Amino acid sequence: MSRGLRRLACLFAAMVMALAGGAGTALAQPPGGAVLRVAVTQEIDSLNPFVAVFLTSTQVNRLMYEYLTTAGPDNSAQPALAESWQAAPDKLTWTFRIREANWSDGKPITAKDVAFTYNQIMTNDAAKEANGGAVENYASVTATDDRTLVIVTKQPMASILNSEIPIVPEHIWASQVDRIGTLTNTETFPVVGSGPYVLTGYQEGQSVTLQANDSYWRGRPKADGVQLVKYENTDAAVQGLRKGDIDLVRDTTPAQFDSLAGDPNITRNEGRNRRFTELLMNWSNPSGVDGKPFGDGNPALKDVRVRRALHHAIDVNAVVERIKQGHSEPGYSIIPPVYPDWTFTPAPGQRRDFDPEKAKALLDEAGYRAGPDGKRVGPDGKPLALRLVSSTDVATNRQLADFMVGWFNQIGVTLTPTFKSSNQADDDMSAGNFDLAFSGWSVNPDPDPMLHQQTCSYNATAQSDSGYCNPEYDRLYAAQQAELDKPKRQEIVKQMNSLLYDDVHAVVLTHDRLLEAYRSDRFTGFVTQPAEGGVITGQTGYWGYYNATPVATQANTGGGNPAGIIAAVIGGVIVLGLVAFFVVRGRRSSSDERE
Amino acid sequence: MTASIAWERRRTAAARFARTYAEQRSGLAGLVVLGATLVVALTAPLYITADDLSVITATGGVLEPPSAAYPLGTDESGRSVLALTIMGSRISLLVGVAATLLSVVIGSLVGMLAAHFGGWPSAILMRLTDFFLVLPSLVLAIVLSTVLQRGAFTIIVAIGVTSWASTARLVRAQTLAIEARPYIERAQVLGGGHAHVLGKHVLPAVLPLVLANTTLTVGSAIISESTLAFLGLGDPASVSWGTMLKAAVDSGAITAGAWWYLLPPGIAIVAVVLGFTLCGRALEIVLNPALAARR
Repeated sequence: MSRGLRRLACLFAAMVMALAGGAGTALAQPPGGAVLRVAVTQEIDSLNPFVAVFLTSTQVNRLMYEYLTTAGPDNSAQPALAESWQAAPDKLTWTFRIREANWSDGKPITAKDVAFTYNQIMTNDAAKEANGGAVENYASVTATDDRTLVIVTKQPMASILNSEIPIVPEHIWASQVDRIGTLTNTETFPVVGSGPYVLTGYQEGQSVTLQANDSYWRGRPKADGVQLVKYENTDAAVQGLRKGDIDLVRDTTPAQFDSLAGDPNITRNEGRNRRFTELLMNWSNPSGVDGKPFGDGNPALKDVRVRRALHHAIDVNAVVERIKQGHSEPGYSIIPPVYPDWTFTPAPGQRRDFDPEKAKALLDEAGYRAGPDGKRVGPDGKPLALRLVSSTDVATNRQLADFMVGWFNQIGVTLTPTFKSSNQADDDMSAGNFDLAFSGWSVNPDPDPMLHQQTCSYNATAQSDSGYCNPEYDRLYAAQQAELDKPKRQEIVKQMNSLLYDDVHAVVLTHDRLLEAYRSDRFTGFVTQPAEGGVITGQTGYWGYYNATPVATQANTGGGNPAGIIAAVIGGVIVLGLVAFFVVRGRRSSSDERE
Repeated sequence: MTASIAWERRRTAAARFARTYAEQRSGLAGLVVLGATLVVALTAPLYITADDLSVITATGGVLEPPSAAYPLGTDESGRSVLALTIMGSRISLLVGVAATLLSVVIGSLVGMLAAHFGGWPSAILMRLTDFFLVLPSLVLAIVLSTVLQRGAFTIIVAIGVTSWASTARLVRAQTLAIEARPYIERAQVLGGGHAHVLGKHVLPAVLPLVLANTTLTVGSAIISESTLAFLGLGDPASVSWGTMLKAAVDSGAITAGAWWYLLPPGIAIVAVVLGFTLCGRALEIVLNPALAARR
C-alpha cells in the first residue's frame, strides 16, 4: 500500500478504536464507594494552599482545608473553624474563638495552627503568593491559648470575615517552612487537612482523588469521596457524562448544554456564577508604578482614547446572543451581579455602547488615522496592529476571538489571535507580554480581594490583571477597606468601579452563567451558591461537593446515544481518528480561569 | 529536422502515457475528483465574499441544519458550512501542494547529491536523512509550528522540512541505479561536469519517480495540515478543513449532533487524499509497468 492509503487505513482503524473506547482520556481507577467523579479541563498549578491560584486548584484546597470563617450558600460570612468572634471598640482588634475539632489525623485543631498559618503568610515571602494580599493589613496574629485567636489590623478592615485563607496544621508544616513556596503538597498521602475531604492521590494531568474526612466537624460527607478527572475538552467530558464515566461536568458550551436536555439520567444546572469574562488591555509598558519598561505591550494602549475606541468596537450583546446563546448577560464591572450589594452599572451617559463610528472618531482623535487600505496608522507611521492571547481551556474563546478580529477589522485595527495553554497564557499575562488577552476571575462575596487586585501593588504578580495603576484608585481602595459602615463603603466601591470603567482598565465583557450537568441517577442533593439559581462547582465554599448525596440504587450506568447522532459520530470519528492516530498531543493545557 | 523528430517522439510518448494512464480506472477517478476540487477552489472567490466568512456579518442561526438557504447548514456563528468548506479547500490544497513541493525539492536534491558524490558528502547527507527519518515528523512539525510565527507559511515549512527524508532515500537509490548505466560513464568521459551529468541525465531519469512520489506525498501533507490545524497550530486567520473540525469540536457541535458541520470537512479531506493517492498509484503503474503485472 502507498503511504497515503496506509495512513487512511490507520485512520479508520483509529476511528473504530475511538468508537469502542470513548474519547481517548486516560481514566484513573476511582477508589471504592460512592465517589463523585468531576470532569475538569483546567490544569492544576499546585495543590499547595500557599501557592495555588487556579480555580480548579483552589476548589480542591477548599475541600481540604477549612477557613476561619466561610461564605455560606447565601454568600454571607458563617462560622467555620471560628465558632464566634467579636471586634473591640477600636475596630482594630478582633478576637476569634476556635471550635473543638480535629485534623484528619486525629490531632486537635487549635488557635496555634491558625496563628502559624497567618504568620507564615505575613512573614515568609515564599508563602505570600496565593494569599499575601489578604493579610497585608494585619499587624499581628497571636494565639493567646488553644481556643483563642487575636488578630490586630493596621487599619479597620471591613472584609476581615471574608478572608479566605486555608488553615494548615502546624504539626505537619512547621518542619517544612523553608520550602513552603516550592512544595506541591502531594509529597505524602493522605494530606492532613480539616475540610470535608482529604487528599489521597494526585496524578499530574490525570486526576485528583479525595476521600471523605471521617473527623470533619460538620459530620462526614455523604459521598465517600470526590475525584477530579482531567479531560482535554468539554466535549469529551460531556460524552463521558452520557456514558456514565463521570458524574458532574462544568462549563459546557451552550450547544452541549442544550443537547443534554431530555436525558432522564442527567440533570442540568444553569447557575448564576460569580465570574466575569474580560478583555485585558496591557498598558503597563512602561509600568504605571515606576515608569520602567515592563513586558512588551503595545504603547498605543497607554492612550485612554484608544482603549475606549476598542471598547466601542465590541458588540457585547452579540457575545451574549450569538456566542453564549443567551446564557449570559452584559458586564460592566469586575464585581458580578450575583453580588447585588457591590456590583455596578454605569449611568446611561457613562456607558460605552457598540458604536464603530464613535470608535473610529476616537482613533482619529488619538492620531491613528485610516490609511488608503482602511488600516489605522499611528503618529509614528506604524500600523495599529495588536496581538490577542487566549487560552484554550474555555471552549468559546476561539469563537470570541473570531468576533474580536471582525469587530476590530471594522475600525481598521489588525488583531492577531494566538491560542495557548492556560499555564502559558498565564505566564504571558503575569510578565506583561501581551497586548490584549481574554481573562476572567471568580469573585468572592466581599469585593475587597478583587478590588485589591487592581491596585498598583499587584502589578507584575501572578494575580495582576491589566497593569492598572491609578493613585486615586489606590486611595479609594484604602478608604473602602477601612470603612465599616456598609452603605458608606458601598458608595466608595461604586466610585472605584466607576473609575475603573472610565479608565477602561479592561473591557468587562460578560457575566456568563455556568452551565453544569450531573448524573442524577448517581448523585443528588447538591447545594448551590447562591442557594436559589446558583452554581454547584466553582463556589466560594464546599457546599456543592459536601452535600452531594449518592442515590441508593444505581439503575443503569450505560446510557446510549440518540439515534440521530450516529451520522455526527461518523464525522466526529474522523476527528477522533486523526487525534488517536497522531497522538502526540503533549500537555495541552487549559485555563484562563484563575481565582 | 532533428527538432521535429524529437517532438514527434515526445508526442508518441505522451500519447502512450495517456493511454496507459487511461487504462487505470481508479487513476481516472482520482483525476476527476482532484480536477473538480481544483476548479471549485480556484473559482471560490467569484461567488464567496469576505462577508460570507466573517462571523460578525453572518446571517444564519446557530448550528442550523441544512436548508435551502444553507445547503450544508450553519456553523456555531451562523456562517454557511458550504461556503466554509469551499474556502477551506484553498488553504488545505495550497498547504498540501506547497509543503510537498518543498519536501520533494529538498529530498531530491539531497538524494541526488548524496548518490552522485558518494564518500563523505554522502555519509553526512544520509546521516542527516536518517535523523529526519527516525524523528516522528508530526512531533517535529508541532514543535516548529509552535516556535515559528503562526500562519500558512509556517505550516508549509513545518510539514515540508519534516517529510523529505523518505524522498531523499528513494531518489538516492534511483540515482545510484542510473549512474551505473554506461551512458553516464560516456558523458563523463566526454567531459561532462557534475552539473551536466546531474542536470541533463540524472534529473530527467529520476523525475518520473519523483513525480509519482510527489502525488502520493500531497495526501500525507494534507492530512498533516488538517492535524496541525485540528491541534490548534494552524493559521487562526484563515479557514481550512482542519480548523473547521477544530471549531466543531470546541463548540460542542459533535455532542449537539450537528453532523452537517463535521461531515463536509471530514469527507473533503478523505476525498482529496484519496484522489491524490489514486493518481499517484496510477502514475506509478504507468511509469513502472512491472507493478501492474505484479498485481
